[in-house]
Amino acid sequence: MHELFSPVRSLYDEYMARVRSRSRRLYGQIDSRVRQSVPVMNLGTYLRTVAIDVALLQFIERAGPDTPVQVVNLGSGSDLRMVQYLSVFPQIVKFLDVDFEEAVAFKGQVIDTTTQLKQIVEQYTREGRYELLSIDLCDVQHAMELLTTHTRTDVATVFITECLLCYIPQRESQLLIDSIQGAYSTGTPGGNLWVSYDPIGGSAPNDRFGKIIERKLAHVQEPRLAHSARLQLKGDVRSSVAKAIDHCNVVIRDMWQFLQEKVTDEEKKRVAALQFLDELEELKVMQTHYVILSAQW
Amino acid sequence: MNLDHTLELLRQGKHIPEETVYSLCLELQELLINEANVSYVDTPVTICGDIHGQLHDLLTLFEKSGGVEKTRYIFLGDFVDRGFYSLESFLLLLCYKLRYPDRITLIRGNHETRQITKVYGFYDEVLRKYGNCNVWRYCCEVFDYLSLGAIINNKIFCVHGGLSPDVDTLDAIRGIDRKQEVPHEGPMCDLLWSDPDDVETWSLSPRGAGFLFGKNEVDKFLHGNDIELIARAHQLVMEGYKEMFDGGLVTVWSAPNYCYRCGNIAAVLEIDDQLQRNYTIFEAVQPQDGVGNAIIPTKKPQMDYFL
Ligand SMILES: C[S@@+](CC[C@H](N)C(=O)[O-])C[C@H]1O[C@@H](n2cnc3c(N)ncnc32)[C@H](O)[C@@H]1O
Repeated sequence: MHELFSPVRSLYDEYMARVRSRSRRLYGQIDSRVRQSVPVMNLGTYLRTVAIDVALLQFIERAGPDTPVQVVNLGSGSDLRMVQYLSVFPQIVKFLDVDFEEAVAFKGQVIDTTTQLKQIVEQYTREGRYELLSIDLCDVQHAMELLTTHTRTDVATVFITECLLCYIPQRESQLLIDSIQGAYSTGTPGGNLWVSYDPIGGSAPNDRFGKIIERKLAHVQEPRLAHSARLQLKGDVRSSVAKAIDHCNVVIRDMWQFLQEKVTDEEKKRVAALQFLDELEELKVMQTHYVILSAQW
Repeated sequence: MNLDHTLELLRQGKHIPEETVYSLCLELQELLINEANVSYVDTPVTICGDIHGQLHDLLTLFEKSGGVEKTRYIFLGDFVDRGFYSLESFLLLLCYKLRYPDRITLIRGNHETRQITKVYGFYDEVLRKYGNCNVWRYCCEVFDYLSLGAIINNKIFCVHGGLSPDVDTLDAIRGIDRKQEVPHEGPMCDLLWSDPDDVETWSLSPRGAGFLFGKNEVDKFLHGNDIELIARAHQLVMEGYKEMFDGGLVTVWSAPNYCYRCGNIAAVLEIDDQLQRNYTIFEAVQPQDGVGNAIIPTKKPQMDYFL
């Protein structure tokens, strides 16, 4: 895990500096969030990042160094994970970032104005290991055509959906999951993995925090997203995502469980020393409303 | 200083001149220096938990529970941090204390310290509102004089966090030199930081300060001091209050929709002359932007939860 993080700080800084010159508004939003962030928020972001990395790393490790692997990040936004993974794992033959056209264009333009990051990304792109692709994932049929032409369906593949499915209507997300599971065959060496991080809750009568997330999603600012921001939050931990992926080996934990069960005491201490956290109850309320799911087939 | 005028400004969340804060804080120190570490309070009294700078909810609290003109109050601390109106909330309580010294008891919470307020918002709020941190310093001076606890009719012990392995008796608390920044360990720290939990005996707290204590410790403390209840705050409770250990301890939480985000309800606990407990619950004031009753500034970074 450590080697994933050693060389990337400067790349992220560079990316942010370029975001700043392209979009003051977006930069302002991200920057103020980073600067004003209280410990509960930072810890939540940390958990979310680590949870996805843990699932990814486990999968790659289990597949072994000689098994080629693909990673498909659906709704990748500004995630720069690909740089970390492509540099550490030569067996990743393809890392595909997928988002709406606008988001893809923005990310591409920002990277284009960087120096160090651009060089790296260009190299991976030349090698055919990295691609940034615009797809509207609500249009499942079209999405499947694109996904299957830009990746191989007989290579071990990880699909990441980090806060994506909550923006896609129930019917379409079910169809997307089914189609991907159907197309990417079982029995490939290493198998396939779906890692999803999602908010849950809102339907239980006394789930007050869940209601707040639900309301928040209903007011999503992006007009593109607003129409589909009908969250399929369900009252229990087995979220709609889990139900959709239920015919295979699914492990799902809420993020509070993840913190208790998967983060070692030593790591907890390290994190606690970084920023003093007093708001344990608030942390628990929040983190029990997010889940990390991994489904293997 | 015109107390009524200041109170009126505070209720409206308006700016208070630096000199006014200075003299208010000085007067409070003079008043609080004479109070004991554990104040005696008579019934009937209303016990209130964490406020955390939610001024408008504090005003609701007074409305729903009779108001300081009619009712006695104990506040269990954590007046500041997290909400947008830490300063106004704290000053409002100070003004009431000055106006009705026998009707309001202020207990120190773990947020009433220099160190914590620098991380959790009060310091930044003052900088934002005054351009310098003087007012924060005046308030921190007052923090050092707040009591550590209260005892109602010699039967109900009130404290912000909980018990300490170094404290068996109320007299042990009375012996603490409280006029200082809250230390990182020891009895004064524990009283402000500890939490009740399902533990057999004293255990390490995940907060990194204070301890976890269980039914055994509570029963022993109640019995040893001939009291029947420990009333404390410190932990968010979604339902506003929570009794534990066969009713030997209660957590009271008085900041509804904590941080304008958690969705919880709030409660205060009224203790009558027969020591009967009566909970009043209340919900958050609805956020409004801009004109009228501006509750939450239009820019609400807190609301952007990670999605
Ligand atoms: C909340 S962001 C998460 C970004 C990234 N996964 C992360 O966690 O940092 C959701 C992303 O999903 C993308 N998205 C939402 N609906 C989409 C759709 N129908 N097709 C493609 N991308 C979509 C948005 O553009 C946005 O970048």
